[in-house]
Amino acid sequence: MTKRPEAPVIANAFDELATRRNPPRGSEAVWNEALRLSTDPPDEVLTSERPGRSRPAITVLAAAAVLVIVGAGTAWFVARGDQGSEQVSAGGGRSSSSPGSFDSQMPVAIRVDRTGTAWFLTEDHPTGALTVRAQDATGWSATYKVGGGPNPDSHPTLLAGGEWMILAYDRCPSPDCASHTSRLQPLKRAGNEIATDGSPWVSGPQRDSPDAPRLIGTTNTTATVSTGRRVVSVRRSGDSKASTLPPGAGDPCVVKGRVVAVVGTVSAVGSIPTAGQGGEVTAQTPEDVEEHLVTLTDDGRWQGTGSTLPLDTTTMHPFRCMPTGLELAEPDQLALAIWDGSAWTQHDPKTVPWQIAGNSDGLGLVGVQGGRIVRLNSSTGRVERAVTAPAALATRWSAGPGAMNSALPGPITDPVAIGGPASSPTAATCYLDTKREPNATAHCLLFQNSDSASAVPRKCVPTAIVAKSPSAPAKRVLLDRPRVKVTLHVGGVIRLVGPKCLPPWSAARTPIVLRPSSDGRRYVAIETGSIDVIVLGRWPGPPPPGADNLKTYTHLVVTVVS
Amino acid sequence: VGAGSMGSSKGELDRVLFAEIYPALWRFASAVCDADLDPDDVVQEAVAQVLRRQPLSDLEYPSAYLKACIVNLVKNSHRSRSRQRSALQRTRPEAEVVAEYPSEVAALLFDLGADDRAALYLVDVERLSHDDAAALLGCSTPALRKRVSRARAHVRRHLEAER
Repeated sequence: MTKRPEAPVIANAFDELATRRNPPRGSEAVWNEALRLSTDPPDEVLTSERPGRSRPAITVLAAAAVLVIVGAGTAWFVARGDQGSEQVSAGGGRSSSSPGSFDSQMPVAIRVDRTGTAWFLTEDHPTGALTVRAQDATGWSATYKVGGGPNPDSHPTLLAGGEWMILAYDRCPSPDCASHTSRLQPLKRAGNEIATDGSPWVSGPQRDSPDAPRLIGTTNTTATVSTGRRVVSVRRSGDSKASTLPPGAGDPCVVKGRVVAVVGTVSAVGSIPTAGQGGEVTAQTPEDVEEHLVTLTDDGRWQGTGSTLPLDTTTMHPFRCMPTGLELAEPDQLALAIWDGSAWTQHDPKTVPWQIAGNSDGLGLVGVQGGRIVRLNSSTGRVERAVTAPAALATRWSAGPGAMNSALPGPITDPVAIGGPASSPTAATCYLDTKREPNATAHCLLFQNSDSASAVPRKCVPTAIVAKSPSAPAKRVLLDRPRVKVTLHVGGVIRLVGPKCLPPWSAARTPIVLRPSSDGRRYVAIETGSIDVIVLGRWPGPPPPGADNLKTYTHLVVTVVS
Repeated sequence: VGAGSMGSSKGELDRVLFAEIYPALWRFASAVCDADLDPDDVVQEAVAQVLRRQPLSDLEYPSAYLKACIVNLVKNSHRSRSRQRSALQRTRPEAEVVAEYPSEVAALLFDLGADDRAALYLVDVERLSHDDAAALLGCSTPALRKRVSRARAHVRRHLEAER
């Protein structure tokens, strides 16, 4: 063979590639894992050849068979229409795909309901089919498969609400996704099976971009979800109702069983200028502006309640909608607080950055919209939106007029998403009650969600945790094993660290803050960005199904001492 | 000799066989895998796929067959990840794509497809003949020659441009 001049260069390049990979785990470890995986049924045809031989003819036949199967499957999906029928199996049932395969099922969400049952939502690749698995500590497990259409679903997630686990996702009826429908399917355990509670609620065609659904409130009989500008209440009886938020409304929430939102008053002193108007705007900042509460009536209409929230430009009483109700900030901190989508942070008013909010007809004069505080800049006459700044300090909160003072959940509870930034649709917040359980331990599972896992090269995952208690030096714990332990005092901070190639939305840029609760009881909130932190309480067994498929997950045990 | 002990001895034989070929398989996987795949994951999955059907030692050429599996796995993974990436761009425009091996010869290899990379590795590093490499990858010898030639030209073009 003729030796080409670039051959040594190429060989060296391959050598370099090998050195940059994760070091080999060794034949023994790989063999044992392969042996374990081999006991699971295959999920797809990975090679079309017979062992040890090259058979192009067989390859062609196998490819033809795959085409026939795919064609039949597509026809089956089309024949079923867009109604998303489901298939349920239980009693240790297994889906058609192996959880051990690295290329078949990607975890999308994990939620733990109030009974301690872990619910996993996985997305099959390349079909995009959604599967929900449930498993409790006794070993019971069941699988629920979501029938799909020809196009993959988007924004799939699980929302823990009351007795239900709500599966939410969007579906595009056409390949270009010119319009989409939102679907909500309440699930719960019934005997040894996963039962559905009525047919899935399906929205009408929507042309706006799909938004990740957000659970905004639950009762024993109703779960309310907002998706984009829509508010959907799913009732235990199976029926549901939906409504579109009125123009200019802020994020909705549930207060005393009613869905409420705040709408800016556009007829106050001055006018609401927008960037789209251009030219000089002479509007003046009104001195007293009231933001009106509107509530959703039973027949799906929005109506004013007569109540108002005191929001004026001197005290700037912002509020936030929580899954537990409406909360108002204290007067002395109001002008400093900024809601960044996952937490309130405090800033020096002089350093708060603002950006032009753009043309927003009907935008509130001052208040909260889309998770951000907006204001009217009197010098420019433009509507501006507060920009999140990284510094986070503990804040105090009290229940204001009309607010509900609900207790936060216990140690094994719903990790309720509270409206994280748009770039982290699976952001979750977990709580740990250290008063009821002094020196409580939280079992968390750190992993990259499916989207981030697909975008981040293996070398760009967090490599260590830095745990810093208020009065102790920082401790660095390498994430080089499946289980790591961290001890923190209340007020401590956990930060994930990794190589520079970690994307900006990674939790490495968003410290995990353990904060005391607002009512004096010692809760710890673990909040993250794109990396899920799921409290599994006293999860006693091996990792739940699906978790063992993840090479990047780490079982993080956080012991909080008071 | 009972069936159980026969199975056990077969398993032990497979274990020894795998230990023997593992370094070469890992090296091959590290050459063929995309940057965001772990070579061990791919080797492991390939072996698991084989074991679901038959013992490793029943294969006529286990190393060659596993290498073919590895190439197929990487291609499958690449396809599914492409779909994920396109979905991701729609939902997360701010997510930046990180170039892990910027401006190096090693980076040039990632411009090639898994098939081309495998062909180049087998011929230029493992020094297989074109016929053998073609048989392993399940393509004709002329097709393999074309792949290798194309891959070399790609590297050469960039090397000359850097001079």
